[in-house]
Formats: sequence, structure tokens, C-alpha cells
Amino acid sequence: MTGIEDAALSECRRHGAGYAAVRVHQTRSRYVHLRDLDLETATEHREIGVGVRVLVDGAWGFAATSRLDRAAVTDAARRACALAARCAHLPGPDVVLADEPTASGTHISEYEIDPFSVPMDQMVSLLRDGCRILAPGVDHTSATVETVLETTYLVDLAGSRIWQQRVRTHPVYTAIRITDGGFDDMSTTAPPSGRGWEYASSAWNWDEELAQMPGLLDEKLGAPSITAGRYDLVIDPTNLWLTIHESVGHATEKDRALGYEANYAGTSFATPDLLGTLRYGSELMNVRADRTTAHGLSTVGWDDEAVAAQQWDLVRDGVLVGYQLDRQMAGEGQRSNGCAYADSAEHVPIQRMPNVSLQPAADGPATEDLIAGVEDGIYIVGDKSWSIDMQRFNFQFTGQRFHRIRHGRLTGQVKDVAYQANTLAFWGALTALGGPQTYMLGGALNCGKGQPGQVAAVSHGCPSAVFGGVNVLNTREEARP
Amino acid sequence: MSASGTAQPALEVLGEGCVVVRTTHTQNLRWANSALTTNGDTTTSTMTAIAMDAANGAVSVVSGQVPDVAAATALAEQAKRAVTTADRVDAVQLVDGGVSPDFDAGPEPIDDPATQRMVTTVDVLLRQPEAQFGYAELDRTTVHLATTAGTRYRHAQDTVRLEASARTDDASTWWGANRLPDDVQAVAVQQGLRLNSQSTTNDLRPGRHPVILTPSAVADLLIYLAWSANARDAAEGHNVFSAPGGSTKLGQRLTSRSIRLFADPDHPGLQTGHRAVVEANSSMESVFDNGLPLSACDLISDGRLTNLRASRATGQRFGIAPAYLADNLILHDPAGYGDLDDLVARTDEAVLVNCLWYIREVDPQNLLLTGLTRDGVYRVRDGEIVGATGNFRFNVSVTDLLSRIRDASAPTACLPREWADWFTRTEMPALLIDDFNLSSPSEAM
Repeated sequence: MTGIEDAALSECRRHGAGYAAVRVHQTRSRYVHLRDLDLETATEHREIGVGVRVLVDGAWGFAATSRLDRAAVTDAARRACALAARCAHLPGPDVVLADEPTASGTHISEYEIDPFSVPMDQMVSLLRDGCRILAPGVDHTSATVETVLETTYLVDLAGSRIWQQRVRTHPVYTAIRITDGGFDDMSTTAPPSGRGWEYASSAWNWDEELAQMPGLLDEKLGAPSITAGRYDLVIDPTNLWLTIHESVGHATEKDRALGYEANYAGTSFATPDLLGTLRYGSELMNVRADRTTAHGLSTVGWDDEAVAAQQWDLVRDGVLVGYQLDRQMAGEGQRSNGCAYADSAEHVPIQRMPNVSLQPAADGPATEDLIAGVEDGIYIVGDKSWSIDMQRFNFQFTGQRFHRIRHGRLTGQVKDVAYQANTLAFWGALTALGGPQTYMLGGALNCGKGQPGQVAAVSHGCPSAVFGGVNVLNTREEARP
Repeated sequence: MSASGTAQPALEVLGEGCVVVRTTHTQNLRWANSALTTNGDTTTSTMTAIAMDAANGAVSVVSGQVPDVAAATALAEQAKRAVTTADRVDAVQLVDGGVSPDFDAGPEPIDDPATQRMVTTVDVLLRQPEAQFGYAELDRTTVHLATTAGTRYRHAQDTVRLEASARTDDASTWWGANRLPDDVQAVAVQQGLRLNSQSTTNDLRPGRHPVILTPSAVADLLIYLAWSANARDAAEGHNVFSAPGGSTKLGQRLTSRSIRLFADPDHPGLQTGHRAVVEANSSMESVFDNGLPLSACDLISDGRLTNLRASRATGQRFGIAPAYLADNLILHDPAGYGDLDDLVARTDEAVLVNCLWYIREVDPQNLLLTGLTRDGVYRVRDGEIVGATGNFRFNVSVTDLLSRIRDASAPTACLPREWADWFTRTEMPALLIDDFNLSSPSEAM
């Protein structure tokens, strides 16, 4: 940058802003999709712009431009201040931010190979090689890789100056089998990761997973349909991360709990009056938030309000003890825990999710040992369909594979499974946790929130875990009138 | 630098291909607990350069911000370099989509009276006695499409979105529109009445019930159906529109009612662009179809599956007529009449659902969707709303429910709740549907 950010800050000061932050935000992304070994899509996108956020007379104002010249950026600063002044006349209390020290520095996420240094045809070749492992045993294949390099430069009136760069990559391979009785698909369980191109090529055991998939998919197609009822579930981290995301991650967002998302993403049952007393789950349940985990998708050096990355507890021994906060949600006299994020220059920072992870039992068992302890249950692997209500009570999840457990042993797959539960009842039914050897960092690139809509990437670590007596639906029966 | 001015030199670099310049001015206001929370005034402009080699089935797509001609030609050069190593895709020759008489005109910003009207509308909502939550957005996007086949197309599209929720400790409502209302106070009063009607509760057990879906709720389900109407998937045997033996269900009757589900760029009140503008290939659209004329296209007509979505290349490959949808979706049921209140008045027993939320696909074989009811679920008896009930998770096959429509209102313009981030221009009737699976209760409100 050549001083345009300081020019914008000066313009904000001149128009009476008590708080002003100027954020230059660049996102480079690639998306490659193959279908039956043929390329369907290969795009490269670079998005850059400047967002200016101000507080004038106790009201927010935000403006952005995709032009980086001094005139455009100072005009954005002026428009942000004008919008704030206009909105200050609308009903409502003044916005108050938690005080935070100024910060300066640089943060670069850990990665080995810059995905944008890799020629597109190499990416296509790698995906095709993966599909070739699948293709002989299935009817159709597809492969996708999405990779993002996100760079921000944040300055504010208080004097903070922060430059950050983060990378994330997610390859997915899918196989489809068609029989006279119907069709089904199966996708790889590798989560997105805060890594570079090394993740697509070597940081996951792709060949082994791809080689097993055709056989597993055949078994699934021929598997018996589940009998609806209550089962003990052993949930693999490749599935449980998403349940944590929806039923704990979003439920402990303070802005939701205060109603800020009531028109859109929803609210939360975990309201502030219950902090410190709400029995969220069994005493085995310890959930930690952090923005520091290596390769975490929500890992940063500082958030988009210049608050340093940190770690804290959300649920301790089964009790709600913490929230995710930005400076407004923390409020006067309190401290933010650094959860402000905007997904592009054109969007305003809002409270977004840190990495939220269920802690393993320190000397807990392997997944096989958890299965051995279940008399009549289902072992669920991989995520698929998900849905939860607007207050984070009622959820329904499916998965990639459902292995029937009888007398402590896996006895083959079943199909048409969905588990449906109330969040508090589900976590209250947590009866056993795997040890650190079962722990895995899952996550998503596409967590949505806010209006206008924003997406954020976030990781969730967890061990394998056992939940007793969970309601399991037969999805075929659900579809019948 | 004008969009048309940057497009021409970029095209010259490409030799064969397309340039899309998308310039957007957006203003928004958001509120919660009867106070403004965030806002925004954003201008963005993005160029997508699509280098093609149709003879060899090669394409490369690169996009980014281009403030001047030098940046535009640099972007085109990047795309051109990449096409030399690009992989094979299904390709056809570009069409000449003609020349818009206003192609050289620049993008159009939102004018100040429109902004003031939005602020005034929100001000009225914020002064209502019930706690108010919501979102208002004005968006004006100007698209310039230029292709080496001669297309010079310009289209300016206004998109309006207004959502208003009112809440008390134990009740909530939602109302949405794809245009600013003339009398927002009247809307607010109506929402207050809906809140009051929830003071009487009426328990309902989970199970299959007759359900009245509002136009907004119908839109959310049928948008998903339109997104799933993938011709290639159907022809290959792996979506709900596949038929046994490797064919599709094209021509098959989906419902005994003579419904028509369609998109039409000229539909009154929901007008959209008349040319295909495709910035990335997908299984239903191709960049090689940029400039293709759009007209009314039926997915379902007279109750039968009429079209599935396919590019020209996909259509050629699978022997299916290519079909592109304009950026709107309309459902007409010729047997429907009256408005939502009339439909309620002639219903003996049903559950009225105001909104659907968190809709996700459970099983593509039968297009089984799950989700939640939201912000108003009412018992209807003998033509009247007799009280409210709690929310439910539903599990329904969208294609199956078309066969269980018992009654319908006349269609009306509506804003979908779940999908409004991506799709706002819909016109739907309210529908009375038998055996709608309210699978389990939700404590949420």
C-alpha cells in the first residue's frame, strides 16, 4: 500500500469518527472440478478491495470499494461516515466497544507449498490420478479442489497495523454407484485444512482412502435399511466435527445469544443468564475455543478488530462457561476474545467462530475399544446432510457410512440412517470419549452467517465419542407420505 | 474507465472467448432488538476473462478487479496463457447474441431517493411496539458481456430485499418482500396481529398433517427443485429425475394438477436479463453458451416434467434439449384462486406454516429435504386460525409433495426465506399439501 489507508483514516477523523478501521482484503481462490475424469470447471479468482468501518455519534458506518486509488478509498471513508451519521438518527442505543490495546505485527499461517505457484494443469492431473483409483470400481467419479490464499492489512485510528496471510485447501473425491435398486454416492472424509498444496498431494493418505471407497460403497448399496429406533452411537471425528460446529460452535456465539441474528441465522438457547450454570452435557464434555491451533481454518494472529488470538473454554465439565466475542459483544469494561472477521473487503466484520474443539480423554481408549464397549449400536463415519433449528435445539445429521455394532463388534454397514436429537439431550448422553490418538481436526470452508451473507472457514477438533440411546430415523420411511 | 472500454482490449488479447464485467452498488441496513446493528455502502467491479479454444475443447477462466485497460489486458493475457495448457471440456461454438443499444453506457449507481426510501422504511419498522429484527438491501448490478462471436450485451438489474421479524418472549413472525412496500406501517400492523394470534397455543403431535405453506415457503422448496433439475445427472441415472433403464423422467406426470413451474425474463414485476451470462462452467451451464438468448422456459407444464437444465454441449451429448432458466421462478396452478387468507378460509383442518428454514438434502434419490418451520406455525380449523403451535423439523420429498397438492391460492410475488441470499425473484401460490411429514418437535422460536 502507498499511504491510501492513512488518507482514509484522516478522512474518517475529519468526519468525526471516534473509531475507524481500514482493511485492505485480498482473496485469491482456485476451484477445479472434474467429472468422470473430464475437466468441468477450472477458475482462478482474485478479489481485492478496501473496507472502511467507522463509529460516528455512536452509530456504525461501513463502506467499501474495489478500487485502490486514493480518491476511491477516501470516498469510501467519506461514505462510511455519512452512512453512520444518517443512521445515528435511527432509534437505538449507542454502540460501545470493549477497550483493547493497539497491536502491530505480521502473521503467516503454516504451509509448505503456495497453491498459486502450482500450474492449473498439475492440479487437474493430481485430481484425475485420484479419480483413476476410484473409477474401475464405480459408475461415476468426481473430484473437486478449492484453495484460498487470503491476505489482509488492517490499520485503525488507535494505531494498530497488522498484516496477515492465511491459506486453506480442500480436495474432495466422490464415487457414484448405480444399481437396479437405486444409486448412492460416497465421498472422501478428509476435511479442509489450513495447509497449502502439500495437503492435496501428500498430507493425507488419499490413495488408501480412495482404494477402499468402491468396496465400501458397494457394501453400502447392498446393506440392509436401518430399523428406526434408539441406538448407542460411536461417532467418528469425521462426522462429529459437524455436530460440534452446529450444536456448540454456533450456540456459543454471543451475538446470537443477544438476538443479533434473530432474523437470519437464528438465536441460541445458551443465553447470557445461563452462563456458568447451564448443564450443556455430561461431565465428560469439555469444549475449548481457540484461534491459535496449527493448520486451524480459523487460526489468525489477530482478529479483524486487532485483538490478539487466544484460547478459552466454552464448556467445562459439561457446564457452559464461555462465549465467542468481538469488541461490541464484549461491551464496555470487558475484553474481547478476538472473534471479529469479515470474509471480504466489501463486508463488515462480525463475530465469527474460532476453532471450537471437543477435548479428548487424556488417557482415553482407541476407537476400536469404544466400539467394543457398545452392545447394540452404530458407528458413523464421515459427514453428509446436516440441519439444525434456529435456536440450536433440534438437529438432524446423516453421514457417509453407518456400520452396525452388535456385541462390541462391527457387523457390516446399514443404510438410510439419520440421527435426530435435541442438543442438550445429545450432549447429556455423551458416555465415553476416545483418547488423543483418536483426535482429529475437521472443519468447513463454508460456514454462513450475517446479512449480507458471509462465509468463514473454521476447524473443529474432536476424538471419537459414544452417545447413548440416540434417536435414529430411517430416511426412506421419512420420505413416505 | 468504462466497462465496455476495458472489455474490448481484453477481447482482442483473448482472440477467442468472452469478457464479463460485473459492477455492483449495494446498500444495506440491518437491525436487531429495534436498533440498527450494521450497514454498508459498497461498490465493486469484477472482470472475468474467459479464454477459449473451442476446436480443442479448451477453456480458462480468470477473474479479478481491473481498474484500467492495462489491468484488463493483463487479466486476459493470464487467461490466454492458461488456455494453452487447459484440459478438455465439452465445447461448442459461441453464439452471436447481438448488440445492446446501450452497451457503451456505464454502470448505474443506486440513486439517493431510493436510499432515503429504504431508510424511511426501516425507520417505520424500528418504531413499532414489538421488538424488531430485519434486513434491507438495495442492489444494482450492471453486467457487460462481450464475446468474440459479436455479442455486446449490457443489463442493469435492481434487486430489493426487505425482511422484517417481530418478536415477543414467546412468539415471532417474519415477513419478506422483493420490493419496498408502499405502506410499511400496514405490514407492521399485520405482523403485530400475527404475533397476537400466537397467544393462544394449540398442541400438535408430530406426524403427517395437511399443511398450508405460504408463498415464501413454497418458493424455498421449489427453488431447490429447480437447482436439482440437472439433465446430465438425470441422464446418468443419479438424481430424482432419472428413470430406470438409463433414461429420464422428461414427459412424465409429476402431479394430477395442471401446474406450471417456469422462469421467464419478461414476467411482469420479475423482469431479468435476456442473455445467458456464465462466468464458470457447471454441470448445467457452460461458458460456451454466453450470449445465448433467454426466454420463458418451463420445468413443469401441465403437471408434467418438461425440461431439465442443460447446456448446449450437455444437451448434444445426452440427446436432451438445452435449457437455461432466467433469474426468476414462478409457479402457477390454474385451479388456484384467492390469496392466502382465502385459502385458509376454505380449509377445514390444517397447519399453516409461515416459513421454512435450514433446508438441506437428505437423499437425492427422492429429493428428500429436511428443515424447520419458523416464525409462525398455526392451527387452522373450519376456515380460521385458532391458535399457534410450536415449530417442527420436517422431512419431505419435494417431487412427491407436488402430487399431494390439494388446494392452491393465486400466485403472488414473494421473497424466499432460506435462499434469499441467492434468489429473490419468485412468484408462488400458497399451497395446501396433504401428508406433510412434521417429523419431530423443535423447541426453537
